[in-house]
Amino acid sequence: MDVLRGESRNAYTENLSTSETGYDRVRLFQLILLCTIVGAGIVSLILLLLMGIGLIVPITVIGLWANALGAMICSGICYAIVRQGAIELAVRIYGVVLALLTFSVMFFYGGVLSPLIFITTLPVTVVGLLSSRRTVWIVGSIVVGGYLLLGILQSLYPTQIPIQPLSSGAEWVSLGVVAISVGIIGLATSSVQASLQAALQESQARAEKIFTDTERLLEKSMQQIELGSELSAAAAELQATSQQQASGSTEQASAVSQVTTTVEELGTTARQIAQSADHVAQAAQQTLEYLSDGQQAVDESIQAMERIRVRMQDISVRVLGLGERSQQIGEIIDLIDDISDETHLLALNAAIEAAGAGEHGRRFSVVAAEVKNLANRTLQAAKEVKDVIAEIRQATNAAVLAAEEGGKEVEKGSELTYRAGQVMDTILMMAERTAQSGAEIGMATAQQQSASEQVVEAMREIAEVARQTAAGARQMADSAAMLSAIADRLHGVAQG
Amino acid sequence: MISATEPPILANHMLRIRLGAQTFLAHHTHVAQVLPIARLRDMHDERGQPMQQIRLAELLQHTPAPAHHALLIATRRRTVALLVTAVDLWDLPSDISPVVQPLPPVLRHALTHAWITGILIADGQPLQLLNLRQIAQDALKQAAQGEREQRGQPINRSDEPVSRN
Amino acid sequence: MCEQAEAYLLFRVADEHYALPSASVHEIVRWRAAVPVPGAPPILPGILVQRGVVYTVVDTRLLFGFATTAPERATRYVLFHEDEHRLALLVDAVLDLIALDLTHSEAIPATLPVARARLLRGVVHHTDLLVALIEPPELLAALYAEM
Repeated sequence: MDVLRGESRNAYTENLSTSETGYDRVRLFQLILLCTIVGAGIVSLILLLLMGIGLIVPITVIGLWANALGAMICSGICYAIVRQGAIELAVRIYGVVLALLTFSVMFFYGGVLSPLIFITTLPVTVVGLLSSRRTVWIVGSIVVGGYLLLGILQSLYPTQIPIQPLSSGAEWVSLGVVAISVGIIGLATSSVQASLQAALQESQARAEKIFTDTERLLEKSMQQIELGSELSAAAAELQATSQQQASGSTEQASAVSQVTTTVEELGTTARQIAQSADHVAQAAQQTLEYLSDGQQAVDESIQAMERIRVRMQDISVRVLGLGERSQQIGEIIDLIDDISDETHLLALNAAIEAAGAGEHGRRFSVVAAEVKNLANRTLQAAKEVKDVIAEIRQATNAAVLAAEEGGKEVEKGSELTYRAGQVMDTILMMAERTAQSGAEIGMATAQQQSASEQVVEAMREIAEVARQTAAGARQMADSAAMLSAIADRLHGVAQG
Repeated sequence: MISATEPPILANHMLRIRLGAQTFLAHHTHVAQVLPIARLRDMHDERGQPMQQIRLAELLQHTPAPAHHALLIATRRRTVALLVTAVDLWDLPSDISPVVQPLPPVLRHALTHAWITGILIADGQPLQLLNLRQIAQDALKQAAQGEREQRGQPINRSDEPVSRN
Repeated sequence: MCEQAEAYLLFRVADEHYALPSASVHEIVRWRAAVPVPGAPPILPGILVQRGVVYTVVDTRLLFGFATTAPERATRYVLFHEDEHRLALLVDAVLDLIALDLTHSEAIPATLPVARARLLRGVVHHTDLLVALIEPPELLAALYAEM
C-alpha cells in the first residue's frame, strides 16, 4: 500500500517536473520532426511518380529528391538529439539545415521570388514557435544571411551557380522584403510563442501549486488511512493478546493452584520421610550399640577358641605320651610274660623231675608246683595287664583322634567366629552409614519442607498476581475493543 | 635198606659240606676230587661224555641253593660231579666227641634212601653224615631213569646196564 | 597224691587236650627250629639235640589228623622216651603237670576220628576239660603205622 502510494507519487512529481521543463515543446517538436520525415517521404514518392509519368524534368527531380532526403536525414538527426535531451541544439540545427534546404530548392525552381519562397519561412516559424528568442535570432540571421548571400553569389557568379540569377532591382527588393518578412515572422512567432509560453507557464505554475497542495493533502490523508488501519490492526492485536493474556492468566492461576496443592502434598510427604528417616537413624544407632556388644562377644569368643585350641593341643600331646608310655608298659609286660613263661616251663620241668624222683622229689615237687602256680598267676596278671594296656591304647588312640578332630573343630569354630566378627564389622560400617544417611535425609527433608513451604507461599503470591493480571488483561481487552472500534471509524473517515 | 649195625665211625678228617644254610659232613674217602664248579666245563667222564652234574641241594632238600664247588665221586660205572655251595676240610675240635651216633630208628625206618649214615653233635647242633657214594649212585640211577622216561623207553631195559656191571 | 592217681602231663594240640604219663617225659622245651633230615616224611620234620641226646621230632598235629601250623609263642616240644626211642612231640601248648585218677576214665567217644582214637587209652574229665589219655607204646605204634 505504502509502496504503491510512493510510486504513484513519484510518477506524479516526474510529470510535474517534465511539464515545467517544456514537455509540450518536446512533444510538439517530435511531432514536427515526424511530420517532416513523413512529408519528405511523401514528397519523394510524389517526385518519383511525377518523374515516372514525365511531368517534371529529371534534373529538377534529383534536386527535390535530395532536398526531401536531406529533410528526412535532418529530422532523424534532430530526433536523435532531442532523445539526448538537448532540445535547443536540435531546434537550431533543424532550423538552419531546413532553411538551407529550402533555399536550395527555392533557388533551383523558382528563383528568389518564386512561390516557393514562402517555404523559407517554415523553419524560422517552427524555430520561433519552438525555441527561445535567442535561437530565433540565430536561425533567422542565418536564414536571412544565407538567403542574401545566395542572392549576391548568384548575381556575381551566374555561370558557376546553376540557379536563376537576380536580374532586376525589383528582384533585389523582393529579396530584401522576403528577408525582412522572414525576420519579422520569426520574431512574431517568437514573441507569440513567448507570450504563449508565459501564459502556459503561469497556468502551469498554478496547476502545479494545486497539484502540490492536493498531493500533500492526499499524502496526509493516506498517512491517516495508513495510521488508522495500523491502529485498527494494533487494536485488534491488542485485543486478541489481552484476551489471550486473560485466559493465560486464568490458566496460570489454576496451574499455580495445582502446583500449590502438589507442593503441599510434597511437604506432607517430606514430613513423613523425615519421620521415617528419624526412625531409621534411631534403629541404626541401636544396631550400632548392639553390634559393639556383639563385637566384644566375638572377640572374647575368638580368644576363648584360641585357648581351647591350645588346651586341645596340650591334651593331644599328653594323650600321645600316655599311648607311648602304655606301649613301653606293654613291652615290659612282654618281658614279664617271657619270664613267667620261662618260669612256668622251669617249674614244669622241675615238677617232672620231682615226679621222676619219686618219694625223694616229693618236697621239691611241692616247691615246683608253687613256682608253677606263681608263674601261672604272673602270666594271668600279665595277660590282664596286656588287655588293660590294649584298652588304654585303644582309648588313647581314640582320644588322640578326638583331640585332633576337636582341634579341627575349634579351628573351624575360630574361623567362623572370625568371619562372624568380620561380618559384624561390615554390618557396623553399614549401620553407621545408615545412621548418617538417616540424619542426612532428615536434614534434607527438613530443608525441603521449609523450601516447599516457601514455594507454596510464593505460589500463593503468584496466584494472586495471576488473578490480578487476568483482571487487568480483561480490562485491557475491553479497552482494546473500544480502541479497535474507534480505529475502524477513523479508517472509514480517512478513506471517505 | 642199609643195615643198622654199622660200626661207629670216627669223624677224623671229615669234609664239611654246606648246602645253602645247612651243613652236612662226609667222608673224604668218598670224594675223588674237589674243584671249583667252573672247571667242570671242559671235563669228561670215563665214557668221554660230559661230566654228569647233580645239584645236591635239590636232591636232598628239594630247594635250590647256590653252587660253587663240585665233588667228583667215582662210582663203579662212572664219575659224578655233585654240586654244592661250599666244601672245606673239617678238623674236629678237641672238645667234640668224634663218635658218630647212628640215625634214630624211627627215622631209619622212615627214610627210603640210605643217604645219611649217622649224626655227629657239634656245639649242640646235629650234623648229618652223608654217604656220598650211595647218593651218587642213586642220583645216576634217577638221572638214567629220568632220561629213559623222557625217551619213552620201557623200564625193564633200564636194569640191564646196572646188572651187567 | 592218692594211690590210683598218676602224674600226667597235660598239653594241647589244636583245640583238644591230651595227657601223657609224666614218667616217660624227660623235659619240656620251647620251640626251636629242628634240623631237617633229607628224605624224611613231613610227620618227622627233623631232629633235635637236647643235652647231647638226639630226639626225632614228631608233628602231633599231622599225627592226630590236623593241619600243621606255624609255631607260636606257646609251642613246645615234649621230650620223652619209649624203649630206645627218643621223641620230641611238637605240641601247641603244655599246660600243666596233673594227677589223674584213671578209675574215672571213660570210653573214647565214637565220634572221634580213627587217627586219634587208635592211640588213645580213654578220656578223663579234668576240672572242666575233657582230656584224652595217650599211651607212649600206642603212640609209637601209630607213628610206625603212619609210615
